[in-house]
Amino acid sequence: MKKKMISSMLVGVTLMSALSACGNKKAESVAMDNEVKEETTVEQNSDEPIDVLNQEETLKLSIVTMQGYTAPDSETEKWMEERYNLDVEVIALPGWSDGTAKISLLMGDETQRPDIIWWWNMEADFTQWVDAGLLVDVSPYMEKYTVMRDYYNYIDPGVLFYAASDNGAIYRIPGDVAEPACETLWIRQDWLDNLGLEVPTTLDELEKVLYAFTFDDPDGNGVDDTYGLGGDGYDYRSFWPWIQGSGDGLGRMELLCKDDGTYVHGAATEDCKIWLGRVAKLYADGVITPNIVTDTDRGEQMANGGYGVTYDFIDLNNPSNATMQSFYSTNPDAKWVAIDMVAGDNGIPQDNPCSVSAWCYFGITNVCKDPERAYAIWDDMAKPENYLRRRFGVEGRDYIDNGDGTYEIIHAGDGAENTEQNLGIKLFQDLFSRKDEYNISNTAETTALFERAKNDSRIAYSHTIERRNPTLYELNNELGTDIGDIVKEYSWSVISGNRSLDEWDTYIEELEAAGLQQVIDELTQLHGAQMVEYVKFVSEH
Amino acid sequence: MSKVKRKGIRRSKGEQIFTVFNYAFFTVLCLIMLYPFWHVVMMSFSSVEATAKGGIFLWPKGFNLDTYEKVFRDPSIWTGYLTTIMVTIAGTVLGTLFTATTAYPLSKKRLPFGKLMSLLVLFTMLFSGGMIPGYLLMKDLRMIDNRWSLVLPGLISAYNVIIMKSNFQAIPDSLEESAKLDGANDVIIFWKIIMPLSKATIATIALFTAVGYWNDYFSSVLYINSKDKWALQAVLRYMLTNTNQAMQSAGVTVTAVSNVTAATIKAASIIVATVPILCVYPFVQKYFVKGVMIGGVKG
Repeated sequence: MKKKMISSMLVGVTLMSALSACGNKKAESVAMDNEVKEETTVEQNSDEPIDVLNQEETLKLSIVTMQGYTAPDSETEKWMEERYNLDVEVIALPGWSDGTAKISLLMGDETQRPDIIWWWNMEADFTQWVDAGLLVDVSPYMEKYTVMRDYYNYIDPGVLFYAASDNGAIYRIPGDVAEPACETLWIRQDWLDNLGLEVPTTLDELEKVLYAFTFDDPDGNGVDDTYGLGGDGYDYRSFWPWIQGSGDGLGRMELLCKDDGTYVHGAATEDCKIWLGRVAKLYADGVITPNIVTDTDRGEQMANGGYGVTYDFIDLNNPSNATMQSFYSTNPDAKWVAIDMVAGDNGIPQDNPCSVSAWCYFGITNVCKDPERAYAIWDDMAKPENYLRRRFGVEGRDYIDNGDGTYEIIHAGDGAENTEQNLGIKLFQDLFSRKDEYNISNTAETTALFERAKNDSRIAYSHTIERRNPTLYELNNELGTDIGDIVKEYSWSVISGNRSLDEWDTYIEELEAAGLQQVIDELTQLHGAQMVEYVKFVSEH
Repeated sequence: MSKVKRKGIRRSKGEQIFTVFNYAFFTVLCLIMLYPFWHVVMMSFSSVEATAKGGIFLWPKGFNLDTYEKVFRDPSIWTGYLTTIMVTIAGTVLGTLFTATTAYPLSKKRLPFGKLMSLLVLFTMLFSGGMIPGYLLMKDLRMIDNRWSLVLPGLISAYNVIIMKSNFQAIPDSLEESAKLDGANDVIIFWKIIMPLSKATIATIALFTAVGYWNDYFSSVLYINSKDKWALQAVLRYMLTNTNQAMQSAGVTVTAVSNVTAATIKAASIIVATVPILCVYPFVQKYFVKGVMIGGVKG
């Protein structure tokens, strides 16, 4: 007993020592960090740009990141440290569900606040950080270091407008901005061929193809196991061809700006009623996958197959796309092709436009010892050659430059090589991400599809509402959730056949009772003023 | 003798039906509880294609170990294991020790203000300081990004103290009195008499504590910044939640970065995270029911 007791205690003491060893180093490090952070922030008074490649003093940069590569001491991290004389600390967020809590904690604690913070959503928090002076205005730096600024202006002048504050200060740098449109209509070419059908060009033709895919055994296996339409469950995007093609295409389930400058909620328009009716009939006739009314994942649905038409990401066209690799591994004879959007009632087919504002941002905080140098470094890393190094690795080893503007990816960054060899491909993935020709994971064909989708989505985009400062829309923030719930409840009930379009008027009354008109009035006032600012901003920049 | 025995076990038809029903009912109940775990195990050994098609997995479909290979080739799994094992062992050893040494004095009627102190312990079970005060405390102790921050906050559980206290109260005072007559002091009595007599409860508390530490991911979220110090559960949660669906529900709309192996990786991750702690159960099972009963009856 005595021996057991002593051995137990020894185990405990040993563990305490081991943990102390792990902890002490960090405790010292924290203490040192605090000392460093207490030092005065370096003021760069010169108008001359900083030569980031020839700095004698090592700059410590703690950087928060979420997606991409997050392990410490990677090859890419060391490349950054050597190139810019940095001491980089990667702070990895713990995932989407807890990420915002961690960001709030980091920003709320001066001793833990990183030098560069990354976040998504969190509009209210961002406003508080700015008010509290936690973020640095980088707009003066953008005048001296222009790579990121020029890139975003090339993408769309609205990117920086939506990132900027009303006074022109820029406390948040766009981290990733989606392509102007990133989805397209996909169809099983092999099924079309088997049934002797042509590629549909109108909504009516598309519906005929859906019925044929469902009932005419397109895969020829003699089993009734196919559907016409499939896609992401509980997501209106799966029905985009009908949304854009019904009436004037204003039946989108969001607030929209009409051609005459007035505002409307798409879910309350006659266009919406039309597409809901069409889709509900298709669902009732069994030509749409049954689980499209439940919350399923589009990637998994696409990999499962079993349907012949879907509206999904253009990225599926890339050979490196894991979803399609999985699909083709079990369906080697299948052939998905991206086709032009079908024309609907108004004869102007449109793809689904993406927001021009970034979905995530990063910012330099007030604890950063040298914010201008930090910005200048990031701007230098945004240059094509440096971006390729950070995002895609080493030329020749991780990708091949064919010299004709095309590339071959060897290690996409998702494979075991990246983690096993600690390569660091995709390090700080969403802290500036290019969607131009230097996004080399796109094939030439994919790039052309993106370009086509961009051109074919501008009319739809002209109706899209973008909010520069969502916190200003108090009524929308207060009533929007209830309105959204009414829309979802009714629309999905209609699609699944649990409610009828005969109840449309009741549904509209419910929306009005929930304060829809108040929200539209507020939007009319605030968004109208915002667009005046937008025109002014674009003309000045 | 055999006649008597046969007569003794003879049961009425109703009893026989009841027994059959009982066996059938509990067998079905057992299967219902076991199947989800079995499903995950089988799915983790199945091919990506079979998993994508879904359905019931009684056996692996298209057996392969690629998913496990992918999971184990991720260095963060191993750093996660290292942290979790260190934290679980340290937390369990120290937690059990401190729980016992806290409960023992509280179990003594002669302890001055014993009732008040028991009440204060009970109070912490009902009302805690909350996440932010906890974080501030760790910060002031300079334990942010330090593995001790994963151990210390959960070291003593009021619930376990109460169970342990009830167990100590059940030990007859006469044993201590006789030991005192033999010259033993309180420390010797505690280590040589009380602790050996409380093996069942200690094993149960140790198991509760170990499972608690093993399953804890949120402490890593709060207190740890470096990924190489994350506990295993935080690593796995990161892997599980960073799928497209989670991104969409988080309000993110980006070009697809799909991972169709997500389902198999999830299954394999669950197995990787669960099996080690499951292996502990058989070793403490014999104490488990007894230990809980002792605490429960007197609590």
